[in-house]
Amino acid sequence: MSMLRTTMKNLVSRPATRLYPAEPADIPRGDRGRIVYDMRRCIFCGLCEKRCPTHAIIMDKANKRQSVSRAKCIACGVCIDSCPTDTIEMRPEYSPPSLSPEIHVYDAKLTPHQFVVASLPPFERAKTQRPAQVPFEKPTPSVQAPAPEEPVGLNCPVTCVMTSRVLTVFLEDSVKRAVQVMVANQLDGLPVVDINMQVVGIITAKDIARDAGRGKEGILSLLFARGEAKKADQDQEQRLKRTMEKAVSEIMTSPVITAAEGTPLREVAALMDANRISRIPVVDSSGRLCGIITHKDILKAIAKRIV
Amino acid sequence: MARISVTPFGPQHPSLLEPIHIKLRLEEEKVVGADIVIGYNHRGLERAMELDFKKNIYLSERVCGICSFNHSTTYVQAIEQMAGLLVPTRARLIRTIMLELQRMTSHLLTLGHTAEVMGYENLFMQTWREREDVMRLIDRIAGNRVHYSMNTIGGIRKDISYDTTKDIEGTLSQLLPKLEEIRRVFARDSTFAKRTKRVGVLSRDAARRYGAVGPTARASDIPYDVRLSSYAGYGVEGIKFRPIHREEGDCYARTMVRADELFQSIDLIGQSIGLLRDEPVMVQLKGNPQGEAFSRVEAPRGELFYYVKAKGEIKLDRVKIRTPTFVNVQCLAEMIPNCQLADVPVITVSIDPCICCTDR
Repeated sequence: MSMLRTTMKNLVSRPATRLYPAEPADIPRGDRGRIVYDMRRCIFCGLCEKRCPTHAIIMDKANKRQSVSRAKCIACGVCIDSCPTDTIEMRPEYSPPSLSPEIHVYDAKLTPHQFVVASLPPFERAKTQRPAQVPFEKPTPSVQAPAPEEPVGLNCPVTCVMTSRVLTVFLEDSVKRAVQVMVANQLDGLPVVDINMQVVGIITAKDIARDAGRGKEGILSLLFARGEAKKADQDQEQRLKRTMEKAVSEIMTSPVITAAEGTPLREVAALMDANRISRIPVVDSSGRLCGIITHKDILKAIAKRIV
Repeated sequence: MARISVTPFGPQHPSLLEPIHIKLRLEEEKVVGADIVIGYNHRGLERAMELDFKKNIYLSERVCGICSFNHSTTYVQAIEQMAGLLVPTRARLIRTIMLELQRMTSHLLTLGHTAEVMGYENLFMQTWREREDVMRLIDRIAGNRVHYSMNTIGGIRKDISYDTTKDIEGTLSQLLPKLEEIRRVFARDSTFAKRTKRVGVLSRDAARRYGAVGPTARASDIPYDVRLSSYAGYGVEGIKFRPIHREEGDCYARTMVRADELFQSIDLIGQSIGLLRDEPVMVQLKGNPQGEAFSRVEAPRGELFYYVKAKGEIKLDRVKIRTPTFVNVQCLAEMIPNCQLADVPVITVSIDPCICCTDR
């Protein structure tokens, strides 16, 4: 009976919820949203990196950079408590949702709270236009029917089949970091970018192996079995160690062959064949990296009859 | 004599929020036996805690989302005990305020969930609307709704200002009439009474035998409350309370114990705010902890227990967590037999199971 009274009261009262995206959310001033760096103040003491409970912060003292892995950060504020110079502050705003683990890089060269996203958001493919034809449906006997040995799909732009979630390394990163990214993500090569996401080179397992004087297979397996190499290989090990400490820019392949966004797939394939390469970074009109295409992508697209 | 059939309840079931598996032995519609299987949510947190003891504060909060502050309080208390730190009274009182606010969110969640599994969606929405007020209040105090990150070894990381205490008092005094309304519905509503009275009875002896804790034990006439052991601010002179207990031991009693504890929490928060004095809220820990210690806290679901062993290094030797639901969930084997199949969800929810804690 008493519930009936409450129900009637609710009938005439205002809703308790709000139409969230249309109306702003009620976020209090002291809310722990996300941390931002003011790189003018940072003295690179490394306390935030050391105290972070989730290892979300990576400091790069040589290049004056702080990277925050947004998916790892739990916004506990320990870095703010430990910072001696008030470099870090907490903003009551949330990072926009992303489909891949984003790493925000704060650089001393940028304006105070500006950052660069180190791994690009995926599904940019959805924005690009697909060709009008749907080739895998049986072609109607119209005038424009393509010849069977000329599949129309290979004329579609490269953006249809490329991988838009690209993992990259920075120019000044160590080879060791590049290898770590490669091993963790089972990749053979990574595009090298500068701070403005302009592609400046490419680093592959082959490059590293050549520099370290080893076979391509040897290099990756050796990294897994850290410290277990035989004593007889000590010379080799020294050489490998030196390679790992080098900057990516020293051993990368540069200049690199890139493809513009609208390039037809056929031309990309021809480019790969002519230069005997297996991956080509895709750049937009301003030279920013927007994807990567490998021979496997093309093969997969043909196998799944996407093109 | 009908044939006995075995029906699974869970690990995935519409009325459950978390995975727990109960094998029900049915004689037509009547349940004659129940086997409880846990372990669907194991994450290896005890092993993960054998790392940096300072970083563990934030990990311990993540054992459970509903009683996060209880977990971190229990953990830091164990370390403080090992290091012999005397936590300032202000910090202890602030801990009490946060613990009681968290108890309110948790109890309101369970009250709503109980109503929901009975099909009483209307009451469920009412309860959760009032819960939102407490959640927003916590967001204003701590900066986050679920993981407060306020505890640290030796006190509290973030002091609360005078304005905040006024905010707490104001919000709670506005909330009080609304909660009284909700309590009245739970106490008097005929639908609710029919579904819960004399359902899932846990006798006093059985509760003792199974070692039930928290509201489950208090509803079976065992006035056992860890808060009487005077941890955090509960031992500060001037704070008075008596554990709420009832005699029936059925689902109705368990629900009403929680409903009454909401008002006890508001009272305790008021008492704590009145006792706040200006003083530092933190003492510094020097060196690494050594030895072993255990600590207990009355979490919303009952006694929460941490055992910590350290050897003077940054890494800990062992952290053992015993959560209230781990004990209470076993009482289901006593409560469920001889009830109707349709009552199983209500009985299961009435002990407020938190499988996230239980499986760690």
